[in-house]
Amino acid sequence: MTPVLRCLMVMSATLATPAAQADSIEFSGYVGAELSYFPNTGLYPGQLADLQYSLVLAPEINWQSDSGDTQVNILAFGRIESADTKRQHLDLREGYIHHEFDDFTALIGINKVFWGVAESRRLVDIINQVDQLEYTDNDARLGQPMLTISTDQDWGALSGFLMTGFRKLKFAGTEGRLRLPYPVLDTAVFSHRSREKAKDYALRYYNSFGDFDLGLSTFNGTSREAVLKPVGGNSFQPNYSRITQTGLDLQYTGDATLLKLEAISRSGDNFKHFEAMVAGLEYTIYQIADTGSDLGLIAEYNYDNRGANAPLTIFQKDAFVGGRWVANDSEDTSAILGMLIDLDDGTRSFQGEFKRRLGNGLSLNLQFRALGYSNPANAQHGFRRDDFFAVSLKHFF
Amino acid sequence: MLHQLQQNKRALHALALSAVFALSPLAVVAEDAIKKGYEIAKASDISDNGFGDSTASAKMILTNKAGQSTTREMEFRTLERTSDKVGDKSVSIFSTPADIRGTAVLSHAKITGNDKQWIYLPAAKRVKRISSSNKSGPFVGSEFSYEDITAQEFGKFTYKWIKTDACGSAKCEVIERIPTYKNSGYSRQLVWLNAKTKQSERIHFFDRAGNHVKTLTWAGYKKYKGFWRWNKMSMINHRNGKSTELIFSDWKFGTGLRDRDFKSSALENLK
Repeated sequence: MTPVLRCLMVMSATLATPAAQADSIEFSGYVGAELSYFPNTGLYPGQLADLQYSLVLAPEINWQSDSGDTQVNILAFGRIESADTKRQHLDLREGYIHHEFDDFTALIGINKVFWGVAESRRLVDIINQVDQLEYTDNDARLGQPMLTISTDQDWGALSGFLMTGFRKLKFAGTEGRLRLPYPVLDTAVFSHRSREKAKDYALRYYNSFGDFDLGLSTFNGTSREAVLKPVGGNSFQPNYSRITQTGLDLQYTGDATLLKLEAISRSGDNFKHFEAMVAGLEYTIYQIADTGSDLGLIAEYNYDNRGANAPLTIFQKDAFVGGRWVANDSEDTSAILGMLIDLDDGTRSFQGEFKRRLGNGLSLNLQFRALGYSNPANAQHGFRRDDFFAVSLKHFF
Repeated sequence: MLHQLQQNKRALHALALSAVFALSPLAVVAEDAIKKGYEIAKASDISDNGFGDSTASAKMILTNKAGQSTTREMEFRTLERTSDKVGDKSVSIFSTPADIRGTAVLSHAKITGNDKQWIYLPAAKRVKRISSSNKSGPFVGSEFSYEDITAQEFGKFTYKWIKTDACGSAKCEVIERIPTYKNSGYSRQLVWLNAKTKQSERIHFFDRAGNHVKTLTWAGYKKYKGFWRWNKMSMINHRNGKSTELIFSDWKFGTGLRDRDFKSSALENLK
């Protein structure tokens, strides 16, 4: 731990110097209004009827030293909500100090880390807990406290993560949509004695070899996914296992074709070891119909052989097909449409999103999610009355 | 993207340099014109060598046919690489519009084959390797194509000297260059080089059907530490009536940028 301590000392010393100039601090972020419309009445008692309004606020502060070697980033996210008080939440997505040393960089604090290449599932990605309350943003993640040391050399980039302060999954309240039949208890069960105080460790290697980009990762810590066990017949309790996961992500970048592969192998205290993968391609037709816009066609196959004791997944044997249209205009207009089909039971879900900048700083986002058909045996069946259409306006500053 | 613009300039410098010693156009047969064009371009390729690294801020003003305009602001960073096989490394970081703030495009140029490119999307903190094969598509909604910005390495064209011509009050040499890379939207380009300053003043772009579709002009040249840089580039699209201006400011050289500042892992913490 000595090098770690030393870099912490250097980092705090740099911060303590009175060199902080006003012009090196930047404030930015966005404020937004969101409206979701659920055409169907909820399946469970107490669920909000059809409209759900919210206000979101995401302020950000960045500071950097004169040399640029030290940076501080703070990014918070908050939502004020009309119906579901549990969805009303505030989270520190980022709050870290980052320092560049001669041969490596160090980061301490709360951060968000993205691993992977696939579009339909973030399989190898494991550092951050999914923010399940943000059902309109598949990329929403809870901030994770960590210490990271990274180096990027000729032989590749290597990052080591030491994490503490486990982030439990958050669940919608009784009034909320896209929830389980019963409330989920705030108290969780852990398979290990140190519970949520247990530290997590991760290591990731990345390198680019010509047309190939390769990532290898390993994680040892508390599972981000939980098994929800019924308690007392009217509620669920999350059960978190201690797990070890190794992952691989690989992308081949051709002229118009991207080939993608993610694979994991996971073992844990309370379930049988399993493997999962997502493999597919993205083919882009440039300048369709003589316009400046591009159409990307995406097809991915998901496979997951986890057993009944492991946390539920919807990706056992599923195909994803979708299209991404990018206008390449001055408003950065884009749209994405996708369908996930369960190849075993026929469950089909659809998702679409349209984005466009309306004016200086103002951007519009329209999206929908719908379950075309759901097999009663599929985990998505409980959400069969939660199709929604959402519109959001965000003002960036 | 900036390095490619710069290398474009480099090619153009050399073209102009050789043009000073050019024979009378009447005496030049086609073969000599090709040789002359090549030599001028080759000499130009090394004429701007030694800038090391540079940064500049740019404001991109997109104007439609009705005269309405939108603005993007970005910073360009370039790391010079002196090799026949690889071009420079560059990164463009967008600061406005505010909703794309922090979005960055990293490019490792290659002479043959596609450049290596990555994009950083700050909302998801995701780095994505992207294909650079889309040469003729619009760059961020502007009238600049990707190839106008990213395909300017010397080895990506063949050259031919055409004529001596007036450009404003100055004298220019006109060079034709033809893209040799795949998927170009152009059949040829005509480049006007100021014979005195050795800088390019104008490019006419011709589409695959041979029509003059776009014109690019440079303005506001100034010498920084021995290297000529401009403060404005204007692209006019004759087909759709739209135009894009790139206003440059704050040119800096020898800023201490290193190779590791041009790795995809550095995109998240660009400073």
